[in-house]
Amino acid sequence: MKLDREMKLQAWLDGELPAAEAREVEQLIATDGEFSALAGELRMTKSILAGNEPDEVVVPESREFYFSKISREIERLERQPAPAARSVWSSWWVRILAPVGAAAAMVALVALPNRQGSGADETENSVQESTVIQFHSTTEKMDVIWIHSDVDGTPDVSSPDLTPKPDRNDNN
Amino acid sequence: MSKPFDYPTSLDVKLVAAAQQGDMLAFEELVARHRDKVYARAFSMVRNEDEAVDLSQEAWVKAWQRLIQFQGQASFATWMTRIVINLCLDHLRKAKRQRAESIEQLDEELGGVERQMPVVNVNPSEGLERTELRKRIDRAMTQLSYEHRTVLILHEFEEMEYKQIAKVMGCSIGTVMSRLFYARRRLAGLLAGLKREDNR
Repeated sequence: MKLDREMKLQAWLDGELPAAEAREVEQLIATDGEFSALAGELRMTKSILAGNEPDEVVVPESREFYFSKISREIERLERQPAPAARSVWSSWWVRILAPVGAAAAMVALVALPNRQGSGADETENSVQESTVIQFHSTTEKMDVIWIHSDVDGTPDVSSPDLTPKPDRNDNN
Repeated sequence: MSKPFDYPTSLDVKLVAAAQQGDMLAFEELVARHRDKVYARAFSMVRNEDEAVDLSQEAWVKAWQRLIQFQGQASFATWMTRIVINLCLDHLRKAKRQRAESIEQLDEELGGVERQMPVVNVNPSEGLERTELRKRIDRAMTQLSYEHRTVLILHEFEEMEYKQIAKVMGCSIGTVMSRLFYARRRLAGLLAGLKREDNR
């Protein structure tokens, strides 16, 4: 309750109290000695500060030296490509993991035992931003591996569609 | 033939327009004109010369990047001051997070000491030259917590309203009011203390 009154007193001094509540504060100042003394202290502090900001502080560096650091930083930032424009291939871990993943997929394919009884099958592995499509045809004695990357997140329209749909249907 | 740009005699508004077009010399002139004010505001908040230099320079870099957003509603100096204030607040918040919260700090936030303080009824500025008074204010401000100091700077020197202060400090209006109240009370006590030292 007391704190509420104190906050109202301050808001009144700062001109931020609505008129209706201002009358209540003025009444209190007129009747309550302690409240009136507090109003005096707050008013005095406010007036001491007004127009008396310490202003003897100046930059402790020469104009040229101070600005050289600013312009160097601006130049450095302007040389950097915008984050949105950066290719995912610029990340070191993508550069390393994508080929490793692709190589692992190829090794896995070669190491697989000869699959019996299937005419053809196709698997698809996504390794980070690259996609590996493997196509195996027992009847044709053929393996096709297609690796392509979705660097910018859009489908690679130049990639041929290798999905062997007729073969797959044959197996069913 | 158009008249060559005379940077030192041009108005801020003209320099800003040129800098918005990428004129680095115009921007350099703006830095030269306002660097002390921007640095002084940073120093008043962080109370450390090196940090204030770094923060003020960071503010200028930010200003260059956002210059196109400056529409001239406020003066360029006011716009710059707001940028440096925001950077200082971020810096102080980070520094505070790194410090262990102590009971004393919490107590100060809530006005623990100030609540018990007797009302100052002598004018601590009486008989003082303006320069001396400013020095004392500076000494007293140094002894305040950063929250109390900041709220005083924003209200008394930047003339911001409670609502604006709450926005830049990221707190409620109630918190601004209570911080301001205890900051004023503590400052009054500190200035009165300096006056008593004088009289001894």
